[in-house]
Parts: sequence; structure tokens; C-alpha cells
Amino acid sequence: MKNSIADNNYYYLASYPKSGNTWVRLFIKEISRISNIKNEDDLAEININKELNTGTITSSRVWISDQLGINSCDLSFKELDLVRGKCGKSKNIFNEADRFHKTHDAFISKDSAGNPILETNNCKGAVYILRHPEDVVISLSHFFNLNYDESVEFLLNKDSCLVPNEGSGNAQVRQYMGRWDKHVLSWVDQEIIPTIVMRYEDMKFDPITSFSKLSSFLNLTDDIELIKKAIDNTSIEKIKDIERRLKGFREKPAKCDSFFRSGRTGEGAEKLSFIQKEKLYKNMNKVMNRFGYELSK
Amino acid sequence: MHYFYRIHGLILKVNFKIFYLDEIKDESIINNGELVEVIETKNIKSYFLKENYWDTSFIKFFKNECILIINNIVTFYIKDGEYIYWERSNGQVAQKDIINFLITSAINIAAIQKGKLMLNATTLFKRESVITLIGPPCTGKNTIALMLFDRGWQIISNESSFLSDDQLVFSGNRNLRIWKNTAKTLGIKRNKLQNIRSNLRRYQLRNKKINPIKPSFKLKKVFFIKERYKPNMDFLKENSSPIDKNKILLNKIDSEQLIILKLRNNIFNPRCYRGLNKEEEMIDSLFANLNKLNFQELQFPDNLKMTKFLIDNSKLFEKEIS
Repeated sequence: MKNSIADNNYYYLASYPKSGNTWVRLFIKEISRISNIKNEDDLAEININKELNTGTITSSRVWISDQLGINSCDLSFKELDLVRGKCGKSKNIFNEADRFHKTHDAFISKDSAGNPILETNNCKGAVYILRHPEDVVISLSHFFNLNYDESVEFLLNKDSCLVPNEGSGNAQVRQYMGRWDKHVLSWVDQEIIPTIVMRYEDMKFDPITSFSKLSSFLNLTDDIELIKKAIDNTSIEKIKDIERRLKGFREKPAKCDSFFRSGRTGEGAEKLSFIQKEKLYKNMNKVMNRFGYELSK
Repeated sequence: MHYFYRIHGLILKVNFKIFYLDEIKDESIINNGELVEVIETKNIKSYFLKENYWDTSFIKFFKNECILIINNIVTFYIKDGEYIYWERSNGQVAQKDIINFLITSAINIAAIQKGKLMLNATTLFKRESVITLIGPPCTGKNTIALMLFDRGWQIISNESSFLSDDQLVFSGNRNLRIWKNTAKTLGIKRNKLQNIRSNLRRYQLRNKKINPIKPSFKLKKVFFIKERYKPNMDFLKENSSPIDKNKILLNKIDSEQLIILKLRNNIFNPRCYRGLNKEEEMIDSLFANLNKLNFQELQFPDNLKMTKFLIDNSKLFEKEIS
């Protein structure tokens, strides 16, 4: 693995939830793991519950508190959104991981006074992972235990966020996302940090091109055999099998049967009603069309 | 007019009242104690001329000095563990906000400057028994402490505790803090709660009379609080047998390496130890306590009412009482 991330250089892996972020993190870790295998008898597969730390999630209270020098529980979400943009200067103390930080935040929060919600100084780049919103609806409905109508509303809600409840202690702070299309634009049209777009559908149907682009952007490796092997080892079928054999995945919410579900594309087209699909398209067609997503029949 | 309060083995000299610290009026104690003077000032600089490797945008270090900037609220300049200068960011900032950050952050940094071992810990006593609950923010230390408080335990120091090399814990912030939803679930009425800060949904108990306590207590047992267990996370256990969700899980920790690592990971503001060059002293203090205390790991169900029921009915904490 070429890239050894210096303390002050880092990347963001940004996405709306259930768009393939974990898949990208698995690929990054797998490249690292197989690059360091010295002989064939070493561990044959990634342990998804022990080896998926690519870097602290940007909403981690521990990290934010570390950067602020105070307990972040003593600031409101609004106050936090005003300071989070300066909270990534260095990595978390005692966290030896790389700095590929997962984030679900929109690039600018409604409470961040027009500024990026995340630190941008010394940021080497962002990977924005994108998936057909119809499929996001299905995956999100399983993940959050919503029905399809509720899940459609979630994608269209200008106030959608993760960890919305300010009255509970949580290991993460609120992450404002807003509407799906605005979330996409907030990342891909910003001009502060270099960004590449990874479409889930390309990762699935043209993985070598897609993951080679990722690998090059993150300066991981240009060894095509290594990339092919990492793609093979992190296919949805293999990861589902690992999750089954490990009897779970630590990032899976309580009400969700399994984190890695079908990984299919086109599931939204099959399962959503035409009215639901039309509602998504009517509201977000400009951004959907721009990234090659159409209203499915 | 000045007031003097005990906190973490220091004596805080301030010109305003702080209701949840123990006040000292005995002049001989004041004159012989480690005094930290809190002084309001103007034009605190926001940086030192030389940047420290451990600086962030909000906390800066130079030798044994520290600047802590709390955006739009207050800036502290803390020097040698002896002086805390503070400057309000604007006229709208309430005094209780200043006091909150003075007690929860600035004074702890002063203690670190004095070389003290500060842990993310809530320490309680009942009769002769003294226990401490250690864990990062949002693991439930306050909630468990509140349940024990209802059973007659008293708070020695909440959220951060100073542990000396001879296993003494000193009185600190003696007020518990709970989230709105916790209060609601446990049926605590709103009129018994007071906002910590006007815009937070996190409260302290209103008008709970806090009786003065001894300055320090000999600690016996340390409980590391683990993230509350969820039945769907059974698979993460080494032993994959299902967790009984109606039990409090208790594990003794024997591995010295694991104890040191767990203590180190629960140090209050580890960045300060590095920035102020106090990490070596901190590690020495951890080892000084290693073989003198009993360390256990405690895990509660992900259901507050069940946890309350178990604490009310289990002898787990009661048997600590000699």
C-alpha cells in the first residue's frame, strides 16, 4: 500500500447512508491487509468486526471532544455545527488508524453558517459515493425499520439527519444531511477539496475501472492484481458470508436483520410503487439525470 | 468578596458562588492548600507564539500553560495550575455557562498542570465504601450514579475524578447531570431539574441539598463501564452464548496490560497530558495504582428501566459496603 497517511493529511469518504460507504471502506482495508500478507497461510479473509477502522467517523463525540478540549455534551447541536469545521486538525489521540474518515454529513449544515461542517485544511480529497435513490430507499427502509413511504419521505426531507434527538446521550453528534439531491450537490459541487464520484452501480458492474480510480485517487496502489484480489475479497456475496459466519456486523442497528443485505441494484425499481418512484423523480430529477439515474418503469 | 471551594485536591478562589462544590471557610486550610485563583480579564490571546504539535484550533499549549477557546462563550488562559484567567466572549454569555466550563474543563486542566491523574470517572461513597465508575462520555456514568444516589450513595466527584498515587479520590463537582430522555424514562419531574446551560437538554438536579463531605476518600474498587449491551450484539463476545438481558454483567479484569490500557484510554483530556508534557507522570500514576485496586468491568442492559430495577434489587453494589 503506497499511501501512508501523514497525521495532517486525510480524506473523507462521504455518502448518504446505505449508498456503499462501508463497501469502499472494506476495499481500502482489504488493499492494506493483502498488501501486508507475507505468506499465503496468513489470515485468509478480513474480519469485518475487527479490521474496519479506516479512520474516525467525523461525527464521533470522542474525537470532537478531543479537538475542542471540552466535553461535547456541553454544547448544543447548533453550537457544535459552528465549530465542527475546525475539529479535524489532527487525528484522535490514541487512535492509530489511517485518516480515511467516513461521513454522512452534508458538506454544509443548516447550522454551520454557510461554512463546511468538516475541517478542510490539509484535506487531500473526498470520495463521494452515490447510489440510485430508489435503491437507497429500499436499503434505508431495512436499516431504519421504515416503510417505503417513510423512507421516500426521508430522502425528500430538507431536515433529514442522523442522531436527531438532542435529549439523549449518543456516541455521535447530529449529522445534518437534508434532501438526497442537495446532499449530493453539497459535496460534488463544492470547490474547496478535490472530490471524485463513485457510483454504486459502477462499483458493481465495472469494479475494476471504478476501484482503480479510487485506488489512484487515494494513492493506495496501482497494482492491478492487488486491486482485482481486493475487489474479489470484498464482493457482497463474500462479505455477506463473512457476516453470517461471524453471526453479525458491529455497525448493524438493532432492528435490522443483517447489515449486508442484497447489495442488488434495481431493487427499488421492483419494490417501489410507481407513485413512490415518481415522487422521488419529480422532486430530484435534475440531480438524478445528471448522474445517469432515471425514473424506472 | 472571594469564595473558596474544594475541587480535586485544589482550592479554588473565585469571586462568585458555586453551589455544587464544597465551600471552605477555615483560613488555615485555605492558607495551606494548593490555591488556584480564578480571575476575569480582558484581551486573552488566542494562541502562543510557538505552535505546539498537540495544538488544535481550540486548545493550545506552551510549556505548562494552556489556552482553551470555547467558541462564542469563554476563553480560558490556565497557567501552571495556579491561575485561571477567563474572558467572556460577549455580554450575552450567562454566568452559569462560565461556571460550567470552569468546573468541567478549566480546573481539570489546572489539575493536569499540577501533575494530577484525572480520569473520566464518577466516584461515589456509602458508609466506608468507595467506588468509581470509569468510562468515556455518554456511557451512562451519570445515570448509574443517579440510581445509586437514590439508594443512599453520595457523589464525591462527577464525570472527572482525581486519583492520587495512594488511591485517594478528592471531592470535585458533586452534581449529577442527566439527559432529558433519561429523566423522562426514569420519571423525574421537570420541576426537579435545572438546565445546565439554557440551550441544552441536559439537566442537573435542582435543589438537591449537597452535604459537605471529607476532602478525600480511599478508593477500593474501580468499575469500567462498558457500552450498554444489546441482544443483537451477542456475536461480538468471545464466548458466543447469548447475553441474559435481565442481568448486570460483571467481569473481573486480571490482565495488568488491559487495566493500564483501559485506564489510559479513560484519562480526562489525554491531549492535555501530551501538550503539557505530563504523559510520563500520568503513566507513573497509573502504575502506582495498578496493584492497589480491584478492577472490574460492568455492563448494563440497553433498557434504563430494567437497569434501574436491577440496581434497586441486586446486591452488586450493596455488597461493596463494609
